[in-house]
Amino acid sequence: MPRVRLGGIKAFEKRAYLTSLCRSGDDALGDVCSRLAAERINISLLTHIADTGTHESITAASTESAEGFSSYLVWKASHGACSVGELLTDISTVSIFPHDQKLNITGSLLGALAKNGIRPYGFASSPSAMTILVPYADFESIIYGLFDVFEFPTYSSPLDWHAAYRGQEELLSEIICSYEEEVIKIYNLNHHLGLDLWNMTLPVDRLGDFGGVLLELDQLQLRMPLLVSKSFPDGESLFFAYSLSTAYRNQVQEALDRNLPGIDVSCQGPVSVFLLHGPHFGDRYGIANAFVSSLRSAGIAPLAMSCAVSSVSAAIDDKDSNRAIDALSSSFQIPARKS
Amino acid sequence: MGNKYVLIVDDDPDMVETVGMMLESKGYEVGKAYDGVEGEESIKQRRPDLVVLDVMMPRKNGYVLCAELKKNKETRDIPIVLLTAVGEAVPTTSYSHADGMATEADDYLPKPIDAEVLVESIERLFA
Repeated sequence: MPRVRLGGIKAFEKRAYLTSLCRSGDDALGDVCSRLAAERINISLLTHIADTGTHESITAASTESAEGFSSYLVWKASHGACSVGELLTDISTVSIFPHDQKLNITGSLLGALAKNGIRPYGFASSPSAMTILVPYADFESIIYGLFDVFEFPTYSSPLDWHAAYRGQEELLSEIICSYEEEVIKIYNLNHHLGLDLWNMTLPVDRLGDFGGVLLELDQLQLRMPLLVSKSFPDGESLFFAYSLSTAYRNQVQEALDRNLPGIDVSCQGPVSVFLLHGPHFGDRYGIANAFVSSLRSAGIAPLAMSCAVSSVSAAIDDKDSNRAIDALSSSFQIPARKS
Repeated sequence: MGNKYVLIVDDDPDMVETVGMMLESKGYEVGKAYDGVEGEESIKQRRPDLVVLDVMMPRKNGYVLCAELKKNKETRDIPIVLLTAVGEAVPTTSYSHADGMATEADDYLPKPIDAEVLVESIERLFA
């Protein structure tokens, strides 16, 4: 199978990682974002999934390792009845781009992870990139695995990539920004309508099968504007949420049934996915909090959310879309509409 | 304006996506590169009509690439718009405004940029 051409890989090694699992409809997202913002701690990556069927929600965030312990203290203080996972300080994040929301790219990625025996902690999409969270011990394996299925214009091998990017993390970390804005400026708010949000718990050893589903659905030219995933505490399974066109619900269900027999999949829709991108959103504290708190002020809770690279992506109930735009307009300076 | 070819060079892939969509909606053909080295390679392969260039990038920053392009007689006529968070908004960085002015970029837009300002800059440089 020919390798898929991508633009690049960006990686950060040894980040701190915090998780929580809430039951009975509790939700740690708002409190966590609020308290971390109050402490001026930047969330470099965040995932959140709320399962409306089981009333469970799972929230996870990654921060700079130097801020890991203080983040953990804040995180624990904000959880009420939710269970907090241990602080992990050996996480790496690897982002590939651009995915153009194409299923063959995410499908190939999942296949590469399965083939190399990598057990990710989670996934987070941005409008252009797919980020994988992996144990640091798997960092080399994932870089090599990516070159099995993808090719990149300016590095032909993992060694080339290492030569170009090792030692660059310090430079990238230098790009920490602070902006003083009464209303946060954004570059783009894209609003995707007519989507389903699919939820499923997938054993880690079935990742390759899910990749196969996406490769099969790629034949239909479907796009996936949001994919979020987080492993359960036992590390044996991942909870996924992903959005696909409602118009193809039957075909998606059939592909899942055929390739993932025995996996319990639920579908809710229609949902809207908001993709919000702004300057240096990946290295400024308080962006996720501004997003979540403005939605909450309108009584809207994200069904799934991903903060990765320099964007916030979230799925909400379709009927809440207009109120969400109004609410987001209070916290963000939204440019001319684009749907 | 027609089908002018604009190359965007930025290490933030979401930024490349956003600017790319905006310029495509204005009728430009868009090329994308994700760091200074890739930008340089891309320019060798196909000469752009204009380059939108970020400053803070790994491998080769925008100031260096801009200065190299302006020194090279093959590329010195390519208009370059530098996009940067350098300045009062980002006091923590080691990049200076003076470095930027020394590169002879054709325009210099501080982040957060205004989309319309970027388009106006590009159209002015093409005029």
